[in-house]
Amino acid sequence: MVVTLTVAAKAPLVPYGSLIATEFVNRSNGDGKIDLQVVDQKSVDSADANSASKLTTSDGKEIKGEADVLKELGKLFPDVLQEVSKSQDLIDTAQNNLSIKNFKELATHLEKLDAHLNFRSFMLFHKCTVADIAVWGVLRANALMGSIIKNEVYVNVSRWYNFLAADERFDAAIQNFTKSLAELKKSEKLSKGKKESHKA
Amino acid sequence: MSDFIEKFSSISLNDIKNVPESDFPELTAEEKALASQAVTYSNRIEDADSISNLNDSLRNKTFIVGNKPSKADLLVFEKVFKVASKWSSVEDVSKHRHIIRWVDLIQNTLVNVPESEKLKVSLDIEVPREIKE
Repeated sequence: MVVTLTVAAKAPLVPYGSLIATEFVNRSNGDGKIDLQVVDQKSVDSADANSASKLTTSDGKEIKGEADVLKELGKLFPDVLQEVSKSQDLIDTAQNNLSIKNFKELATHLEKLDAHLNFRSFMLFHKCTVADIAVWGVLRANALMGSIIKNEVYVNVSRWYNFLAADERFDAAIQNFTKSLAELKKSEKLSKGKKESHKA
Repeated sequence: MSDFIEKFSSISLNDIKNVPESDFPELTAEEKALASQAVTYSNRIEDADSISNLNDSLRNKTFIVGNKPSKADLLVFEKVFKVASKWSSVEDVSKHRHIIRWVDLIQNTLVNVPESEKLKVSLDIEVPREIKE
């Protein structure tokens, strides 16, 4: 089975979750593979400015929006992306509450997440599930989070976040995406010509 | 490294001493130092100082040395496991939250503890948030 994931490189909230999920699937020994396409757009759907990712299955079905894409990927690859049905709430919570860019509002949700991790090393059970991938991805995409993680404002969140950041599948997903971005920028520069790119 | 623990076949409490270090990911010099320090402290686990040191150390580490499991997790677990079962008040649980979180991870991944002997951990018990000093 081959499915295609399209990711909007300029999305306000980069869909890191589905990028990481792709890395999990493509590194596994299973039959299924995900074909990744990074496009130089703000959204993968002209009708919806907030669609950062889109999944196209082999029978032509399209699923748009990061939360739904992650849920579908979890259904398609249950051996690699584990516990998707139990992860649903956390996938939605992450998308709705942890993407907020207003610190005061975000803080109340981070406090809840920190409490959730008082006695847990992972979001659910004792293994990495889709919930971990979803929550981590949203935090990685939220520009406010960098210094919050670094300063250990929420110590349990930082511990959990850094633990997963050290996982090579998470790391590789981020690096591959950064590489695609650089390539996009390069080709953009070439097509625009030198004069324009030095405006600033 | 989060996939390592899924592939690892858990060890029974009695076999901990015999597990070769080579079963685990290789450690850096710094991680080795952390591991041996933790094992040394765990030999004096009845001291309040040892316990609070361990709890502080696990605050920002998933495993004893950080992000990867090591034999030190097993050796320290062996010592801490029995002490941890005495913490029943919310105050004790709150004070030792990082050790309890780690014990629960180890008893469900690296060490094979029979269900009836596992430390009972209330995952959603409310404890005051720790504010960074």
